[in-house]
Amino acid sequence: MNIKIIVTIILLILALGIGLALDQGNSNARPEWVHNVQWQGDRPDNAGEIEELLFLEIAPYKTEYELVNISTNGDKNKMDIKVTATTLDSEIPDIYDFVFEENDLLMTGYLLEAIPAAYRNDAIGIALTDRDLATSVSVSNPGVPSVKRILPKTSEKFYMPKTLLSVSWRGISALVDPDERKVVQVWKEGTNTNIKQ
Amino acid sequence: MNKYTGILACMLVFAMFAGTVSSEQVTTVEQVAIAEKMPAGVMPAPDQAFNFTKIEISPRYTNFRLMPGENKETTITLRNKEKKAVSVKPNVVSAPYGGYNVDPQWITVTPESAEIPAGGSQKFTVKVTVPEDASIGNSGVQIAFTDETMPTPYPSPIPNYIHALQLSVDVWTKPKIQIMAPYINDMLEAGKGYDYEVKLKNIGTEAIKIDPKMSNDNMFYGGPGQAAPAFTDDAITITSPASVPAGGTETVKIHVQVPADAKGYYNGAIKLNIDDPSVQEWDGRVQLSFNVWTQPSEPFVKSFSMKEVKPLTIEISSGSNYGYPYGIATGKNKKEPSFETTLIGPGGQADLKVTKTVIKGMVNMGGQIPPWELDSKGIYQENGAQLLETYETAGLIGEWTLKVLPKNTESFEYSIKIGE
Repeated sequence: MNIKIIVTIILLILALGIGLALDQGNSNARPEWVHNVQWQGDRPDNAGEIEELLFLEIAPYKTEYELVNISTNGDKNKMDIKVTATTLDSEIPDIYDFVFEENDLLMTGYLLEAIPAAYRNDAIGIALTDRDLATSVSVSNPGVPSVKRILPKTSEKFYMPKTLLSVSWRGISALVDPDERKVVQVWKEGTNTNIKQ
Repeated sequence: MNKYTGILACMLVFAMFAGTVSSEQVTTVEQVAIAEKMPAGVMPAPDQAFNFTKIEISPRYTNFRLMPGENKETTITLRNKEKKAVSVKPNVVSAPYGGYNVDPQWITVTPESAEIPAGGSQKFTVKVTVPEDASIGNSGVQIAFTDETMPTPYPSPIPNYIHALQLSVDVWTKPKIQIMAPYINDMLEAGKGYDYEVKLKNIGTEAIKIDPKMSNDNMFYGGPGQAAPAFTDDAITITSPASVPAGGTETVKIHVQVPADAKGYYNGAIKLNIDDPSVQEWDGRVQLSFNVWTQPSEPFVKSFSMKEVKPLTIEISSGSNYGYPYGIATGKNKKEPSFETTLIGPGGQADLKVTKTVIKGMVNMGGQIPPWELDSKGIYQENGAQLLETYETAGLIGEWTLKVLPKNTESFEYSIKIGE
């Protein structure tokens, strides 16, 4: 009788431990800067695995993601994944495109504009420290620029592998290093080459 | 006639040929003269050919951005394109018009000399070490591998070496003042006043003086070929403390009082005059970009007449603007268009009901975009949006007046449809 109770208690402790461990694993997969995750449509069987891989690839810029919306197209073995992540600081979301195949996640595109207003304006200010660009912008008055985050894998082709910000008016764009507060490249429409190295 | 034409043609051909030969002879003589007699730095005509040793230098230009106390090195490859060995000995000299901020002694090149065999190559390591007490600035130097110089049409105090690496060194430090945010963009209404704040944070250990003033360069913005700015710098008042204490944050207050008759754009800058050498002149500025636009108080009026009793459909649509005032503007700057539409007919004001509202967008997936934004190609990007409102009422025979008072749109279209 006593042995049975002891075995039962041990099994209960083991079950509790495994449960807690699994729960711990889940909360590790979802970083602190993600508040909510929503799957559009049916949640695939391997959603946990996909989320874990996604959170290694995506991250907000100087803010936190309030909602990460994940939509898929395809089957569990090969699917296109679109992630739209919104923040409280910006009305424009971050958008990521991925392909999930053979348990591997490949980012195929991104458009990241969820940048808090202060950093957005700061980047525009830095872009306008480039005298030629400031002149072009003031001459053509092309309105409000877009500010997009450029990920290190792209930046390394133009400067170095670090997060940069692209400040673009219609027909002209500056690639800004926000840490060093400088313009590292300028592009003008109609030119295939960049006008600043 | 044909005989004379033939003789003339022969003379012309002969004259051209003779001219070519003569020109070649002169060039050859001058090449020798330049190669043998010209003192360095003094100059024949710049477009004349001259002899020089064929050495290829790769790369020919490089740029280092270093903070005081930092060092960096790079490798340069020289290839001898001659059919005989050539001797090279690197020599660091100032570049013409390169500034004097960089001391050539900061730069070492190894090996100190080399004999490059015919068709062979030699690598050199260039190391720049910026001392701790170096002052901030950008300078250019030449690392000349031979003493052969480029002829110039006028005497030059610093020769322009042919076999040289052009090295630009930008000595910088992180600014002790952080400017939040150095860019103010807004849409202003004529006759109204606006207040803005720019915060300056001193992350250094000593107080830093500031003296914000409207930039003298602002005239530049209203320059040739441009419309006059919407208002002059007088419309802007700056209130600022004289310094920012160590570790503290101060606020520069900017008040813009837009004249009642102002229209158009204002682009300018406030020079903060930060007494910190690490803030380079063009960086210590707050850029201002304003679009002054008068919200109309009187409606647009369009009269028309109806000859039959038929249903009337009025459609009003805002301009499809890129960015302002409707589109990507966010937060408090987001101003969505709207219309106050009235229709007055023979029976008085018509009962005009909005029967349809359409939000129409302009979305692209790339087009010609900066190369660093290519990863966004294929993702939908909304660049502008448009509001369309449709109103319907019963139309009677007689004179009608449509009145539209638009808000937050710089243009709109209307259509009046008579009948089904």
